Parts: sequence; structure tokens; C-alpha cells
Amino acid sequence: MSVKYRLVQWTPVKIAYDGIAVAGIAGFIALFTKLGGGVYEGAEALSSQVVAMRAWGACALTLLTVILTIGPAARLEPRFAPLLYNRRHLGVLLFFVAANHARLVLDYYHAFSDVPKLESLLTFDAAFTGASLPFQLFGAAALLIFFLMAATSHDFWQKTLGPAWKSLHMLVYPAYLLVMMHVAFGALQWETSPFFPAALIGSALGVCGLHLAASRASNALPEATATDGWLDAGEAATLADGRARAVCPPGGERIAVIRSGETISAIHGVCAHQGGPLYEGRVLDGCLTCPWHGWQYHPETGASPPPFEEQVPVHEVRLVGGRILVNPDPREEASDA
Amino acid sequence: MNRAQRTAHQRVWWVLTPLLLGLLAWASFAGQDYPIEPPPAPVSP
Repeated sequence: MSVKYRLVQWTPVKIAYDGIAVAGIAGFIALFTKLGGGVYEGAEALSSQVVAMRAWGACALTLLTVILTIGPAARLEPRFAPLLYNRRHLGVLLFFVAANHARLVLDYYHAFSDVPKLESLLTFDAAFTGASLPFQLFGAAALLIFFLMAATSHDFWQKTLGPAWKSLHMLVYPAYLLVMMHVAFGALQWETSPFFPAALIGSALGVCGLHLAASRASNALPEATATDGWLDAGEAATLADGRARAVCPPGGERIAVIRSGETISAIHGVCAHQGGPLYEGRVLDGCLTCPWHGWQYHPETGASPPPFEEQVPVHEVRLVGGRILVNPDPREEASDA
Repeated sequence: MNRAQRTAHQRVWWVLTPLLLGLLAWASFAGQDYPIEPPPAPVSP
């Protein structure tokens, strides 16, 4: 959360996060190169160039799988939420790893063409028949999406592009499909061991299964019952200090009911930043803090602490017989802000 | 996520999962033949 736009607002946590990510990538490439070079011998031995491009390609696929796993894992298990804080750094790293894989491919398979390398890629790979699929073009299309995402992975672009930003970044899902097709109809076709298709299908099952499970868990919250137009948000005594819970109005957006000391209040449950679940956040420094990226809101005013200017709607709360009742309609002054 | 985003994500994965697994299953048995090494470099005259 930053009041001014900076390229990267470095903190010790971000430096450690990026350091671990870069070290992990370097370790993966080194290990793959060392082990991959010795898998095939004799006439089947791979050249060092092929091993290198496979190492970078496999690293990009692994990184993409990790990136796609973090979101649902954090929704299912809050302990993974810190990984979500700087996920966009991994996305930018993914682009550079994938771009280097593409550079190695162009410099090897298309280096001796009569036409420019990029033209060689497009014309050679586009001339496919029913017996061959343009797997290189699948990878090139995914790389283009990764570039657009990496170039706009910043709060400045998120605010500038508005709702289009989210749509643009949801292209990661078709990009995932393109990458899997790139691998399945490319490198996988050359392999004879059943381990490789099994590993690829296993990773796809893992990613898809996690996303479907997270969707199911997210939709499992029951809609609150209303009494005289007020929503029942459960017993006040069971809401721990500094924590929040969700209340779901029928057909409406979720509301975060918060206890901060002796005060119980309610604000809009969706973060103004990227739609994070505020009802899963904690009260830190007197503000409800989004578990996704740390954006903060005062529990009673819905306003971010100065100098920030974000504001989410506030809902009235009253206690009746030890139970919390919430007005499903936001206070007007907050909703107008 | 708000309701619209939750719905969009859910629909994406309900479509993507069978599509992806179906294509991967097809690819596993497709048996396409690509050269693993490029053609030899042309020799200068």
C-alpha cells in the first residue's frame, strides 16, 4: 500500500521474497541442466542448447504452476496468504524466464533460416496439418500475454485501466492452457517415458482441483437470515478481538463484521484494491487489514488511514440479546464517499 | 472477490478443467513427430 506510485516499494520482506524466488530459479536451472544432460546417452543424447531451453521452459512452467496455486491455497488456508502479498513479483520473473526460453529457441531452431527468426517461427510453425499442431505458436501467444501482464503489474496500471485491468490479468488462465498445450504437443511428443505425461496431467489436476475447491469453499458461506430488515451476524461473544467474520446479505456483497476491543462494527467485505476478502482480515494498528495485500480500513469509518484516501461503505450494527445485527444497506455518508 | 469476480473465476475453471484435461489426454496419445534437433547448419561455399 503506497500513497505515491513507485516502481517497487522495497521492504525487507519483499527483498527476502524476491531473493528466495531468484535463488529458487537459479537452483532449478542449475539442477535441471546438471541432471537433464545425463538422462539420454549415445545417439539420443541432447545437445547443451536443447537442455538449456528445456531447463528454462520447465522452470517457467513450474513457476506458472506455483503462481496459479498460491491464490486458491491462500483462500483455503490463510497461512499461505503471505505468499500472495508479492505474487506479482513472481509474475514478472515468470515473464523473464519464459522470454529467455523463447530466446534460446529462436537462436537454435530458427537461427539458420533465410528469413528473420520471428518470421521463421510464424511461417514455419503456422504451416501445420492435421498431423501437427503449432505448439511453438501456443508458447509465443502465452509469452505475449505474460508480457502484457508483467508490464501492467503495478498499482498505477490497475488504477489507470480500471475494470479492464482485472480482465487483462484473467488472461493468465488461457495463457496457462496455451502453455500446457505448448508443452504437451511439443516436448512431450518426443518423450517415451509415461512419467512426463503423468506429471503434466498430475500438475493440471492439482491446479484445477485447488481452484475448484477454493470456489466451492468461497461459495459455502450461507446467506444470513434477516429480522426486521437486519441481518443476523451470529453471537457477539464468539467474535474474537481483532478478528472479523463474514455476513452474506441475500443477493448482495459480503459484509465484514469486526470486533476491535469492546467495539463491534461492520464495513463492506470486499477490498477496494483487488477485491480481497476483508472479512478474513485482522485488526492491525486499529485498522482492518486485507489478507491479500495489506490495504487497511478503519472499522468504524471504512476509511483508509491518512494519507490514503480509499473508502469502503460502512454498515450500522446493533446488539440484541447477545447477537450482532447488521443493516444490509450501507450508511449513506460512507457510500457517497 | 466480489460476486461478479467469484462467478467469473468459477466459470473459468469449470470450463478450463475438462478442456485442459481432455487436451492433455489427447496429447498423451497423439504421437506427433517433431525433430528434437534442428537441421544441420548450412556450409559456407
